[in-house]
Amino acid sequence: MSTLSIVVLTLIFIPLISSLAFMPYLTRETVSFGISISEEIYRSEPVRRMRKNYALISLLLYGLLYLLCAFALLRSGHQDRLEESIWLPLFIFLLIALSSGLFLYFHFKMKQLKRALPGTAEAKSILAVDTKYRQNKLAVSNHWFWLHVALIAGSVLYMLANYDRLPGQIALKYDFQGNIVESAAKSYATVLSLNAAQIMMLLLFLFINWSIQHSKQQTYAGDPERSIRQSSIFRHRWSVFSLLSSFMTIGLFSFLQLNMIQPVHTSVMISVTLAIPLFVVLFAIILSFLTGQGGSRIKRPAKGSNVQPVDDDHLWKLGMFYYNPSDPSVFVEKRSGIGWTINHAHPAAWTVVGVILIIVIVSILISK
Amino acid sequence: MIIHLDMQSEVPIYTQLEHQIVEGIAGGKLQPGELLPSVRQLASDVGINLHTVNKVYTRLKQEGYILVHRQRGVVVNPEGMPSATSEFLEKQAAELRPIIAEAILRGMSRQELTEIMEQIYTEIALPTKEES
Repeated sequence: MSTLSIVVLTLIFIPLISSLAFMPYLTRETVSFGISISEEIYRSEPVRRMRKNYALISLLLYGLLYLLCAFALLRSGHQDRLEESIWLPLFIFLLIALSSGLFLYFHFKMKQLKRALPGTAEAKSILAVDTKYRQNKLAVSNHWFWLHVALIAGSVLYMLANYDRLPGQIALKYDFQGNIVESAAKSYATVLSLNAAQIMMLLLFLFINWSIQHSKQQTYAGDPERSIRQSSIFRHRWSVFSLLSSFMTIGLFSFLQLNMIQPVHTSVMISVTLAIPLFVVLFAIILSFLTGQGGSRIKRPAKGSNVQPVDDDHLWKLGMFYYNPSDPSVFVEKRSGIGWTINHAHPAAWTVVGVILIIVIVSILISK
Repeated sequence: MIIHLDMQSEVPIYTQLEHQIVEGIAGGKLQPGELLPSVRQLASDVGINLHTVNKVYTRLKQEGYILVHRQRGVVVNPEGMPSATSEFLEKQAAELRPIIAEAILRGMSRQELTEIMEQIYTEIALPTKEES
């Protein structure tokens, strides 16, 4: 049904477009398009103009792309399913390609701008490190995740207790209208498959919470106390977000299992299944806009410091990819974006990415 | 305590780190018994090799300024700092010699040199240390 595809397209489109177009406003004030600068320079007129141009061009380009895809979906909706299912992934692919291209263009412009600025070449590269940094509450206690364990355990017990009440065929996949697309014969494996997924998610989020606590400190020498305060709040908020969103997602899976034994109305099931991920995404977007990367939007000072942050531009390839073989850090805060990224020179980082990729690929293959 | 490191200085990072920690303890910014980040954590935060930080902590441990526990982590020596032993005074004299020599070479008077030492001492030391 093409109308629903367009609704989905719009729901994906709005948060994605807004976070892509306005990203330069959300980064730390010591970064502009992946280039390190002082806060004073960030707030200067030429850099402000660059941000505005970036946002306007982004909105224009992505808006056109959206209209194109919406039109294509409307047209193909009356024909065959295959064409319809191509447009959404194509849209996302084009979006990624466009946004990367646009970012890189502005990245190189910013590089030129920095070189032309007086005083930046000779400026000292001072790094500030707080020995007490991790004594702040950077992440919520991992013990909160016992709630998640209880929910999963409860679901497993509930499914096992009601095993006999389950029908011989377990529904595995639904389409947007609630019709069963795929099902399998009842067995302990199929009945508890969602619980296995829950456990994987729990481990993933525990790992995320751990890395929020331990990832590399990035303190601004121009105003260390303020930088630390903002950074602590930033990390703590995202830790709380991880805790809550993982609980809701695990809860969603439990809800789906409950639905197997005590089926709810199809519309309720579809609404809940769409509402929870939507809520999580909206929550993330709002949090990003309120907090900014590294907490840069929390209680901004009236005047930006003119201290040049430590010049590690050469370590951030294309302004996006952190590559530093001497740095034992596995996770660092993103330079152009919200959240964390890996140190691409660290073997453990590649292992983590590899493991996640393998899990995803294996799950896709198994479900075929 | 906030450590400041000049990443482009000729002075190597491990030397700067060592000096900053010593100065921190001297000035009271680091209290006896205060926790310091682990080797891994400090190396990650600064963005340098583990061995470099290890080198710093080992030297500070040898001097008796910090204690390194496997489980409990790294702390500033809770039992206070060692006094100025004859061994230390010898080493200090050897370190001061080239500084004083260069000062004389550049025509600095005894007075001028003493004034600079007083100024730096005042900058670093705790008020209570001066009284005693």
